[in-house]
Amino acid sequence: MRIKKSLIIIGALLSACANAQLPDPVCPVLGKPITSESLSVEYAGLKVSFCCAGCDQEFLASPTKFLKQAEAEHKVVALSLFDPVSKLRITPEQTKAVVDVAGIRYSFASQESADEFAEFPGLYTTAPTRESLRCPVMMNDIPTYSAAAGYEDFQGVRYYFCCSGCDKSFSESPEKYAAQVKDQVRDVSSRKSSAPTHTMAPTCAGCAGEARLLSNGEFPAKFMLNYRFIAINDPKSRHRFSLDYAVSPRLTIGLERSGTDDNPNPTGEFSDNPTDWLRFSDGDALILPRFSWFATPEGKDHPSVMVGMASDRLSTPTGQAFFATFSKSIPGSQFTPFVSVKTNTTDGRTVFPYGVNFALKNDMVLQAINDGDYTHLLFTKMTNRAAYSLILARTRYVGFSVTVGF
Amino acid sequence: MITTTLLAITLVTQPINTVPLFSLKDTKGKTWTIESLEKDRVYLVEFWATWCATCKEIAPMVDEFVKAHRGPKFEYLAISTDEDMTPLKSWLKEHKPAYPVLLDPNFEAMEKFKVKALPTMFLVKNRTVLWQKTGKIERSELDDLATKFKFGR
Repeated sequence: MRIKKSLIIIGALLSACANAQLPDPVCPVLGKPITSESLSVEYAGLKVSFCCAGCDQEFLASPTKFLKQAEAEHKVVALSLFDPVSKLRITPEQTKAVVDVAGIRYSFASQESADEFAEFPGLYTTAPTRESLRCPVMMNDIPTYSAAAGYEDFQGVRYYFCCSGCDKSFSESPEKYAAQVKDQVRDVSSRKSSAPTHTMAPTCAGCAGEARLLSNGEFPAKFMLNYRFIAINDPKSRHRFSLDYAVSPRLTIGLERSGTDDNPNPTGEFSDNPTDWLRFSDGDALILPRFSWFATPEGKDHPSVMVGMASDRLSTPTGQAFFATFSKSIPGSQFTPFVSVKTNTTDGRTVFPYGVNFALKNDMVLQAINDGDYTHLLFTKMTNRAAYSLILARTRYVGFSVTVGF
Repeated sequence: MITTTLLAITLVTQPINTVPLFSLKDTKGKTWTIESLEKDRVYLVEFWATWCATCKEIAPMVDEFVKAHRGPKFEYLAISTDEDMTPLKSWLKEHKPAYPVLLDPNFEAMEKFKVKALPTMFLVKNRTVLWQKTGKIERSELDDLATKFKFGR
């Protein structure tokens, strides 16, 4: 009885302490905890951190949606890089007080500023939808928000300054300075397009996969052309061309040209004869249909799901494969494991390929995949319209893959 | 004479039938969009500014009307189009409004509502504009609206 009572008291004390402290910022996309080392982007004078690779792209695709969601759920998902009262850049070391409003944590150089702000926060947090990141006074480009010294709003535009003192000059004759950078004024939302916006989804089921260009689970191009070469003496796997057409942003249909079913070397051993490497096939090439449907991108409580059909490549010498792949990133890490279920028309065997994506950077991914029979390693670099992969198929055979969207 | 008339015509707010999409913050920092408007609740939306003389003139009358009718069936939204926040801040400190004051310093909502002059009022319900008027307004007009659209207390 006494123990129970003490527990209640401890519980009450703990919750009182928790209430006194501000909530920890979380990822705006998945709502998971973040750290100071987490992947982050700067958007409209805010620093936004993410639990997982891919969340950044999802956020940048519709930032207002995620900020509004955070506001509704009373979560903090962004930190203001500027003291909204002084309109000057503020670092954690200079911060004397913080106030959370509508999903954003604002930092202040003094408690007085914080109090002033807290009276009518809206007066300080209403921001123009257009901005200039070229200093209107010194005329130099400011690479990113955190590099700016401060800002002023004038006639519906937020002008960021490179250096302290520029704000004073600007306020004296805003028309004159604003006119100097009028061709640098952009919509805040257009700024995101400069960031790489594509992520790779683990799409492969039973193949030494190639990167698929995906943006927020969507194919960014109408057509995607891929060529893959693997220095292996199996004609079906050596050369492969594919062309996909995005019927909708998440559904593609396409054709795939692999080698023949007539495999002269079932062991798949690498030939010493270089001319063997360059042969396209040992007979008639097969052109087979394929499709993929990215059913859903990863969410808070569910994995991403992709289903599709492709020619069965390294596992069996012939036939088509049907697959479903599920992936879910590990919060606070760069790892995205995935599992797949695959069956093929050759022997009807069902296998469970699995693997993991490791995001080296926003646009570079290492992928290890076991296709049910063999393990393959891939390194992929993505740009807005292309993906380049280096492949080590069956951890032995070197290859590469190039995908171009148009 | 003709020029003056033409000018007057162009200044008159073009009527709109439905509430346009908007996103504004209020003085507390809360974001308001079209989804923030409750179903079946009538809203009197007024575009105004601290420097607008007519707005000031009708303000005590509007305040009284709003005080009398604010409730589950009716809400008043004051959309300030002040670019300079300093006079607005003084006004807020002086008046301490109980109703939400939305901020449109960049005239984004004003453009979407096709407002050309201040004050302009809209009576809206379920995304439909029931009534609108630019310029001076009398208490009797507001009372008539309360009866006609049944939001009076």
